[in-house]
Amino acid sequence: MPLLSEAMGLRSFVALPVSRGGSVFRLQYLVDTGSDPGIMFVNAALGLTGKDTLLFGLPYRVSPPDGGDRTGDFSALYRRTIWQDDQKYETTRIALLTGVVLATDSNKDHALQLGLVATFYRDRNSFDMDALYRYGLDSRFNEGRYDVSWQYRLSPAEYPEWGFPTEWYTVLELNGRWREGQTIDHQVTVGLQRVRHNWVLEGGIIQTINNSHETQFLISTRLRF
Amino acid sequence: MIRTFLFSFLLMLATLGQADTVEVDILGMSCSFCVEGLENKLSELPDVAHVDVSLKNKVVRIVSKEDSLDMERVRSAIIDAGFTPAEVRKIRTDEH
Repeated sequence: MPLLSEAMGLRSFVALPVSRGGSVFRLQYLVDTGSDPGIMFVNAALGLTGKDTLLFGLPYRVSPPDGGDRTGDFSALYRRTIWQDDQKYETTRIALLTGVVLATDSNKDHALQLGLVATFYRDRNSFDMDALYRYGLDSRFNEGRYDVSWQYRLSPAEYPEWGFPTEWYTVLELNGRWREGQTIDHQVTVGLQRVRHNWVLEGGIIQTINNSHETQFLISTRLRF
Repeated sequence: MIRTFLFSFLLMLATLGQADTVEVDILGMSCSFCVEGLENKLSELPDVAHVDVSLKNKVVRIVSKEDSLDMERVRSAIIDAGFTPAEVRKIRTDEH
């Protein structure tokens, strides 16, 4: 996979780079300041070729408020890089996303997904942008989201001649979440990432800047195989 | 004729067990998490003994085992990892 270069925003998983035959797993925990114990997300990315990747996601609610199912809907996406401009010290890539959402509750309907993701990397800066639309089938509502992420490498200021140092990144994101019948929530996410070769530990704060003005906290880890 | 045969034989002995070290410029490299897949892909090749990656200079250094490197396989492995191979430089040939 051409991995969309660094492509590691906090909120989104669709820009993540994966090599052919490789895989990346992410476990993410999201909690707000209220009494809800939060949601866990399990994501997996499987590299098919240099340009093709499968992306899966499954949310798990720790304690459903209405006593319903803990397991949320299963998401499957296929990502295809359609444009790639690799230079020595910068890279730009664009990929298409298409897939489905499979409802795990028999009372719910499924959805189709379509989106786009772009990544730009230069020097110590990486930018990821993605937009995804979910078209609900039958009685299911439509949904949409966008993420604009900027990751800046705090450390090291300069890489060593050889090898992989531990890296630290600050992350600043603008995110949008929309559901049919509601106004879109715009959010600002700030966070920190620690990258050590094949392992990432990251965390952040998500602030909804309109509507509910809700504050959430995020912690997650990724492993590459 | 004996001298020609001896020279050819000695030349053959001299080239047996020679390892190559090459450096390949890689386009599209970014952070260590992304590049780890590249190191794995190259290390899996049967004729590769050792791989070093330079995020600073966007280069991989590959040391072969006993035989010369199959550069076409190296190139495919880099592409499979999601990057673009560029200039190749042979650093040295060592005898075992």
